[in-house]
Amino acid sequence: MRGIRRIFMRRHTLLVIAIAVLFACRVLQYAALQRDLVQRVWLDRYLFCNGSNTASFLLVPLTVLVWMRPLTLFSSGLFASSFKSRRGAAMACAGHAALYSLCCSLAINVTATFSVLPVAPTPSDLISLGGSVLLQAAVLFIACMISTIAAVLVREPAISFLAAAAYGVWDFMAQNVVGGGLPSIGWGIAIVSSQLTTAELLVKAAMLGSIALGMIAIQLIAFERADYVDGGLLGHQRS
Amino acid sequence: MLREHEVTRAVGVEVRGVSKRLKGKTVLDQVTASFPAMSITGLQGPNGSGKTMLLRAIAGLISVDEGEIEVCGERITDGGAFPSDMGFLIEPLTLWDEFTGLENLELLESISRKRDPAAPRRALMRVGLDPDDLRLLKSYSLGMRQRLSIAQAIMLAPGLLLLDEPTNALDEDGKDLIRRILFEERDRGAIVIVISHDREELARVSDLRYQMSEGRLSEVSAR
Repeated sequence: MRGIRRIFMRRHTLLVIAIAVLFACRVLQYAALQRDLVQRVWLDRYLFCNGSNTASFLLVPLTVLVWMRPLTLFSSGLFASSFKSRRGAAMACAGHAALYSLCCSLAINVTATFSVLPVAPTPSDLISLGGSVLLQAAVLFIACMISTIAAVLVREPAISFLAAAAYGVWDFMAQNVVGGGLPSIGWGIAIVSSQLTTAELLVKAAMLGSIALGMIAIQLIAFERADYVDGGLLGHQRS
Repeated sequence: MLREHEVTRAVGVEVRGVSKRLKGKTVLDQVTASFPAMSITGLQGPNGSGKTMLLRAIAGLISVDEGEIEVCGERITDGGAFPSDMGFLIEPLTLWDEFTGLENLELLESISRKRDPAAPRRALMRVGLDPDDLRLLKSYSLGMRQRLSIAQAIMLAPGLLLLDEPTNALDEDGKDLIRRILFEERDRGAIVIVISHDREELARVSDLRYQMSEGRLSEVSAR
């Protein structure tokens, strides 16, 4: 685990950039909300910070960008062969992605909570926030899985990043460009309002859970079928 | 006079009728060969003849279309399995420019099945690199990178050692050192398979040699 932490954190320029961009964004959002004369409810302010737009163009891409370095390890033959089988490697990779996504979701929501101050959330808002943290972690996990699948099959960092970024943008496109014609499959599902019933929350969780399980299954197949003929994302094809 | 390792050669790796097609091209064509334990087997042949692909197949890094491969009696062509105790240098290797040599090896040691936290330092010293060298990999010369790659492969005293052009980019002293390491690994009991484009070099270190050509294998010589 210490070694894996190292690949995520040690001298990781993109991680430093991502944290700086996230904090800069929160400061700007905080300043914008402070100028807002209309005293809106907590959820509105939260959605201003963590809505689909911000997620599509900032939160999901940043999460995937930081994931690209650990992915150089996870897409390599050295990583795969350190397990008994490709299946073991795929499951370990999914486990690391799940933990990483949860950490990212916590970072995103903690900073969002600071930037919506001084409007205090109600207890029901806090429950919604807890649900959102988990569902948003699921969305980030799905994005990481998509980039992993693309990395293992195509072995091209740009395609791997863009595939995941495209998933992040999907809900924004569905809501703002297509005009509701496309189903929500990402961040749009992950926002939980305090008016939501438990049943509705469970439906959202089941939807994202199903997509996540589907991605794990596809990732397993990708690992099974992969031919490690290069050094993963760090390597180049050798003729 | 036969040396001890020559008379006690047990079969280490068995490759039977292995074929592989990649992007419409046959890269391995009905390859059948034995790679004895406690010996160094050399693979020679022109570029693109399938030497590296055979090494990848033995390492479980590529799936094969037909045939089977057994490493010490363990079939690795079933269900995407990998040999349980293997070290390899098959370029290009995954190493991180923004880590030192020691950090790179510590990371790879931390994910391996066979754990030994002291191994990275030992391996670096064995290949003539300083474990306390604080320079990042991006400032390493080609020869230093090659030594680090070899250190990575031998770090955990693997039972199966697969090396693709281990003397590339090394000076004469470096080549001597690698030869010595190869002999030490063999004498320790490892199955060592080496690829080299240098026939003389291969003849000098190998107990058994195979020639590869257009994905086919033929035995050249045995000591």
